[in-house]
Amino acid sequence: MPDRSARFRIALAAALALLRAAPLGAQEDSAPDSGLAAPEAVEARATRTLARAGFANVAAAVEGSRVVVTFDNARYRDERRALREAARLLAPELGAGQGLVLVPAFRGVPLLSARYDAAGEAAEGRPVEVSMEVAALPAALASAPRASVSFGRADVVVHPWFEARFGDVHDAVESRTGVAPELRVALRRGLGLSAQLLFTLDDELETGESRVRPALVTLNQTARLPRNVFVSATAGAFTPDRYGVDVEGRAYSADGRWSAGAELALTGGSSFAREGWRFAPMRAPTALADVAWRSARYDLTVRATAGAFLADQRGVRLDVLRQFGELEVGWFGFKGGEGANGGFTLRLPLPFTRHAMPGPVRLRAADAFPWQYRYVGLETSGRRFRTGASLEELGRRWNPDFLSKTPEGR
Amino acid sequence: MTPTRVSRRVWRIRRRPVTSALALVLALAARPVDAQSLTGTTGLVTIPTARMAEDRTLLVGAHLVDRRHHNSPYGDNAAVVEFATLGFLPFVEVGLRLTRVVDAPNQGLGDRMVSVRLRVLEEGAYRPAVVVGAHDLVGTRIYHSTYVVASKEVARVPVLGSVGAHLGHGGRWTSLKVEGRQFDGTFGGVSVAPRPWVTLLAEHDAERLNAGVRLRLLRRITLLGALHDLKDLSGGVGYTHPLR
Repeated sequence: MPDRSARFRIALAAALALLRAAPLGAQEDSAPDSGLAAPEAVEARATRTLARAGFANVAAAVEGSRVVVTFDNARYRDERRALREAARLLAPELGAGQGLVLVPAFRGVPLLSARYDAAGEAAEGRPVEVSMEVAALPAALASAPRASVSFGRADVVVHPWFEARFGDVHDAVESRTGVAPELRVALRRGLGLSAQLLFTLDDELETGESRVRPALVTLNQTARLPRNVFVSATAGAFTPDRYGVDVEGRAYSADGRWSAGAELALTGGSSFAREGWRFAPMRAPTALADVAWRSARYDLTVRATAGAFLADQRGVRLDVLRQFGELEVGWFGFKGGEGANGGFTLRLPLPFTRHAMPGPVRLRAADAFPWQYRYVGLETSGRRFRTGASLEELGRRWNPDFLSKTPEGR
Repeated sequence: MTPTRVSRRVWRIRRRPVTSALALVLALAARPVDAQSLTGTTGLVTIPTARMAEDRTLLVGAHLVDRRHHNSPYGDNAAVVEFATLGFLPFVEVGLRLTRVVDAPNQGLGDRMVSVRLRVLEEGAYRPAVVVGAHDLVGTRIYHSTYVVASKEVARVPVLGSVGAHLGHGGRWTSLKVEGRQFDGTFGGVSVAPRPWVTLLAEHDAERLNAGVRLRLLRRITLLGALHDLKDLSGGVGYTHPLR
């Protein structure tokens, strides 16, 4: 149940919405006899409101009794908070009887839709329905002018770097610690460039690699196809120490609880030492297919992956992952031709819940620190690489069920 | 509370700082102490019980275990047991444990142990909670165990407060190659919590009798003191952190 202050805010937002709708009906930008503001005026105001709040690629379209607004979250670490803030900001712009549909996007590619039937629901940040479906959105939204366009802007995202090897009898923990700023530029709809440098502060791994070396250097194109299918293609240098091309596809059910994915990649080993970048031939194929199910009640994802992992390891991997708000804790087990492995995965949210306002160049902290502990560290034990553009991870954070809950978990 | 009452309480606290601080600490302990045993899983002194780490709760801590009772092959000194236990789901508890013998060479990071516990029956008015558990399933398996345990708590017993009875049986139910076993046979114990912040523990771990006392301070901190075989001292501290 909402507390007293929440109820007061809802009532205030609803009253403001009614007050705004009434006088606008008498102004020259109002639609004749409808009592609502003219669609163009509503679209302009909605777009301006979100752009001023730091959201990117904002566009709005009014269709019938609903206002549809799309945006990229460039401001908040927590996607649920981004959605709630966007709804709260737009609630006062809604006229009486007018609903709101929010369409969060990734580099302009729509991810899902959240529907609020009234200003009160929007003010409270409680969507009536969140769905992966975006097919029923107005066609005008795609061609609507964007405000706060992110294409061409650069984000310098500072990541902490920590990798460790455990179990040596003489040196129990060997680690490499550093800072890895990443230059992230969105070039056009769905297309992004990433270039990351690792500044090693402490290195006990004795890899022979330079203390300052490139990490992720990738070009990624993400696109949405009909029937809730997403594709992502990435080329460049991946982590840890691989380069190549990777293509990933993932299809979602409308409620986001079921998804199936496939990944094909061709990579080779790479290293960066004093004499520069060295590449092994790009001959290692990866071919994986997975199916995932998500429990809305527990924010729990169970995913089974089968296929050819790195080092031509054919095997099956089972992941069980739970989202405790922004913290993710998961367990995995792998069974392959050369044995079994297991471990756990973490995704720890990092400080700063809100980033600076977007600009031509912006410095900001990474949202989270992902980490994986593998009982057996060998490459032949179900190892994968990171391209920095995982559809599965994107879909987990922008999941309809997850977004239906407030950050407080209600 | 009226301002007058508040000022009276503040005045009392100033007058008797030590007893007031102690009373405040104890008053903040809200519920009976269900926490980690010396082995890192929710339990009594060493044995697991059918109580579980609360959902969305992380428990971390360290215990110092007497040299005669840690069963590690890496040395004869006392061992430090560090653990992290997570209420992964309302009915699933998972734990990681690291056992390091003090000043023992060539043990690397120490012995790593994973435990998984599943509650198959929730405690009712008349029926006990039942948990099945498996410890140390991968690696060297020094502390391997598979068991079923039942727990029933009776609240508001005169003088004793909350009383819990726990009975379990560990069997050789896997074909895994193991280097050592724990809780191999029938084990059980009793927990008595006369106050929400203190629990007295007595158990038989299928080999010997152990006893202990557990204190909860400031809601999140747990202290455990135990006597293995009723004579060898072990103990440690734990911290509970809710995950939102």
